[in-house]
Amino acid sequence: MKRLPRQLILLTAMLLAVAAVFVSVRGAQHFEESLTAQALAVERTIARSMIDVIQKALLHDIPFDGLVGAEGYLEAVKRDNPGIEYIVVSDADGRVRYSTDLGKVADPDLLQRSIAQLKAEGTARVGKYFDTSTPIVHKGSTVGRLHLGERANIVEQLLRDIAFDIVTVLVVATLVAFELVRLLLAASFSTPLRALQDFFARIAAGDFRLSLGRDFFGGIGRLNRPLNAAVAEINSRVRSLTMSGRPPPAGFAFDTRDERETLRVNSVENIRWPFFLLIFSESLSLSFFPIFVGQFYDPSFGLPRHVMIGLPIALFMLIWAVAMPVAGAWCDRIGYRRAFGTGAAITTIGLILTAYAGSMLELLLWRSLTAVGYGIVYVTTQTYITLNMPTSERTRGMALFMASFFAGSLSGAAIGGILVDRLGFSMTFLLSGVLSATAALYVLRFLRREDGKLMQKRGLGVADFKLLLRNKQFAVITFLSAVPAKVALAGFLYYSVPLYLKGLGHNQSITGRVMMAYGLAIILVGPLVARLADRMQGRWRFVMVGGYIGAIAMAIPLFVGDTLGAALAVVGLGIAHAVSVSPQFTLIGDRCTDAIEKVGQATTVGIFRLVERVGNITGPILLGAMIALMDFMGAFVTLALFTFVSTTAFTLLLLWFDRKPAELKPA
Amino acid sequence: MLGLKLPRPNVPLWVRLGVPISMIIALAIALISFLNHSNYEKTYRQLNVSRITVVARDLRQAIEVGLNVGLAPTNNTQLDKALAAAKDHTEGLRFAVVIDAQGKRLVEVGGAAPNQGWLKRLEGIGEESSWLGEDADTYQVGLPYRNSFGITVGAVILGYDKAAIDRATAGTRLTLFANWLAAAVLLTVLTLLGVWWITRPLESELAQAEGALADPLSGASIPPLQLPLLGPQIERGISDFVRQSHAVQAAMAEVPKRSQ
Repeated sequence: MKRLPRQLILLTAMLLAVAAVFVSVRGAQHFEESLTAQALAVERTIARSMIDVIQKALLHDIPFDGLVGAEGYLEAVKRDNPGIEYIVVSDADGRVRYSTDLGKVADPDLLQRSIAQLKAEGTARVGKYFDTSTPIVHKGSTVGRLHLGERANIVEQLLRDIAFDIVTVLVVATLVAFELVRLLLAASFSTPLRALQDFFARIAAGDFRLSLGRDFFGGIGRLNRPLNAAVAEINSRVRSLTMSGRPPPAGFAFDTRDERETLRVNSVENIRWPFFLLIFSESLSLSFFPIFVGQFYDPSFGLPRHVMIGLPIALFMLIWAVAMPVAGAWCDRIGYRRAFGTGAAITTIGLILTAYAGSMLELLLWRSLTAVGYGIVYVTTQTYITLNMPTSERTRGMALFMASFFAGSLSGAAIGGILVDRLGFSMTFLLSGVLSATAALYVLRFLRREDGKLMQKRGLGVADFKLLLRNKQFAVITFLSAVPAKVALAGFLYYSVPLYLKGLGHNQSITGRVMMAYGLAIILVGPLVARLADRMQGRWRFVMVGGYIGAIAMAIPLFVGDTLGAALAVVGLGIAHAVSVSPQFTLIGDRCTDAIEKVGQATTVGIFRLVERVGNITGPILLGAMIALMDFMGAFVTLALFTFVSTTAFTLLLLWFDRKPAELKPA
Repeated sequence: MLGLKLPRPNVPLWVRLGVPISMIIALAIALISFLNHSNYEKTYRQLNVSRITVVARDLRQAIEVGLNVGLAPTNNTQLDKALAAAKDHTEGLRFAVVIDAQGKRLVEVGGAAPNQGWLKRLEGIGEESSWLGEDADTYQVGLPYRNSFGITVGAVILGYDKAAIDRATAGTRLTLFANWLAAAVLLTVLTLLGVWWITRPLESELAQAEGALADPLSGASIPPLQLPLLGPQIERGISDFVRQSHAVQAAMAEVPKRSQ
């Protein structure tokens, strides 16, 4: 049954690629015409401005052949207008009198010959250039001509400038499309197939109490209708039987009270889509958030502007981290369906209130509220995936979680930046709120209630932390793999790479694009590697290999300089984390079963995520200190060595644990 | 024995799947067209900003030349003419304003809205040579001018009509929409064809399964099922379901005899 969805995904990918190329190429053709006209209008304006200056000189009776400093002036104008490749002033016969340095012009002879022939005002193609010729008129007669040259491939250059934007657009559209197609295929095939399998297993055991959910997609769920009709008819006849005082047939179970309970199956896809939607909605504000916060800057706080702008972001991260273990313990008590719904509802309220924030204090409050909801959803989703994936596929489940997180985050940030231009800050936040509410409603509608599976435990306590942290395997995986991975993420990717690229003279958009490669590597490589990790025994080997890849990646700038080195390092770190991060939690599930049973699944997720955030906090501080003490290269090499050493220690300790199984039990 | 006959749903699988997939692709290419248009509009706007920056530089030069010979902008008789000429010769230019270091408007042509935050922009400009801004109706370029001691003493601000850009880019929007529509229609046809081709075997299996489940309470036995795509579990499950339904019916028929 897996072949058919794959074929449909392939078909969608092919058609989407064809469509994307079609609309992009046709669009570019139109852009060429329109933007070339605009670029040439700029040239004409520059020409008019220059001719005014030349004519003023002529009006002061300075002879056309004796314009002192003319070439310096032409060079200055060229410098002010980087699109211009050459400026030539010719006399009435077309001989070059003054010009910028023509040494860098492709085929200067052709240019000079063409200028001699170009007598008409307007724009003509000269070799690789568009030449805009404007007459210089003095006392009613044309004394010369001004020629401005711009590369003929104006739009090609402009498109090259926005090529990364176009690629981003394609990536974002593809990510969104595939999340939707996956949801459709899951709703049409995998989820109803699992429901049918469960249903038939119950029927085989003589249980006719449950019916199948209503199908909207017409795939495998199409069979639900005749099955439900038959079950309803049987139950109705049994009820008639019992109402007439006769007992129901023995050996079977029936819906004698007409409760019409529906059989629901939990599939990872059921939570994947709302999780993607929620991350997408929250990420819509990522690209403009600092500018939005800047509006609320109030000098009376006595803090510098950049500190004030960073405050809501830092607070969000802090509350998110602290909320996770608490949310985990809560989720263990009330169940992931209600927890996700509540988390998404809180996020919705936070986003909507952010849209109407009127001061910095209000903003801090509403962002904190959003962070609480976000933290609940984050922990709940991981718990759901862990509980609803077969043990043999949990790494793939975690990789899907990470892929959804980064897909939502990348798409949201890219689209939010464009939406805010059109909708403004408030409307974009309101839209985020609507999307987040949709995620909440989806989960409440489609996720099964997990009655009877909830833990009867008190709230989060210090004992939970103690129990987990005293577990040697938990401690090794957390402190020697998860925390170093976060140190690398926050210290290298989020802190050092932007500074390093800025030092190389790149702007924020180039930095953003380089950093985007990390998320893409996780999205593309993570699920593939996770599938392999699930198939092979010994998931810890993937954590080890990922650690070593990360160490090598962070040392790349030492051997490959400039932007390429940084980009390769970022991609390498993305691959490293795609290989190692998904199996980390699965490994905890494999090796710390006793502790998890006592603490609770969601509480374990929450505590693990909180502790690993030690890396997020220390990473930038450590790297900042190292860059100050050494330089970028020194800091990168030190971090690479730190990752290498922690990975080696992780490997040796796990090998040691495996040789001494008696010591595996938690203290 | 009472049978249970259900009408078959009349929308085939390839339509049920093909239509949403087409819609998703259409949505994705609409997103691409929208984002491409945003990039185009941004580039178009930048080119216009470049154009009015050229004009603004000329005006700044006129002001600074005047200042160098001791002529304040208010006393520079050529400045009014230069501003008027700039507005007349620059397509889409809505206003040109010269302000002093306190934000007071010294010379002005065109209709600039009151209460612009130009003074704040001028004070915060630092080492930058210009600023870009906007109000409800215009995109603006501001260039500070300096006196002969190199001290910033004011700025010249040019406002370019937003509506002019909207008008100019409306044609592109229409073209992109037409491209999107053509692509969406063509792709819908191709998607439906492709989905039909891919789902034919499953459609046939589902029809077979639906046939077997059409009247499971009739007591008739069902023909052997061949469902390689749905899998042996479903194949067996359907047979078990029909068998169990018959068993329940038989057991129900037995119940009255026992109680009598």
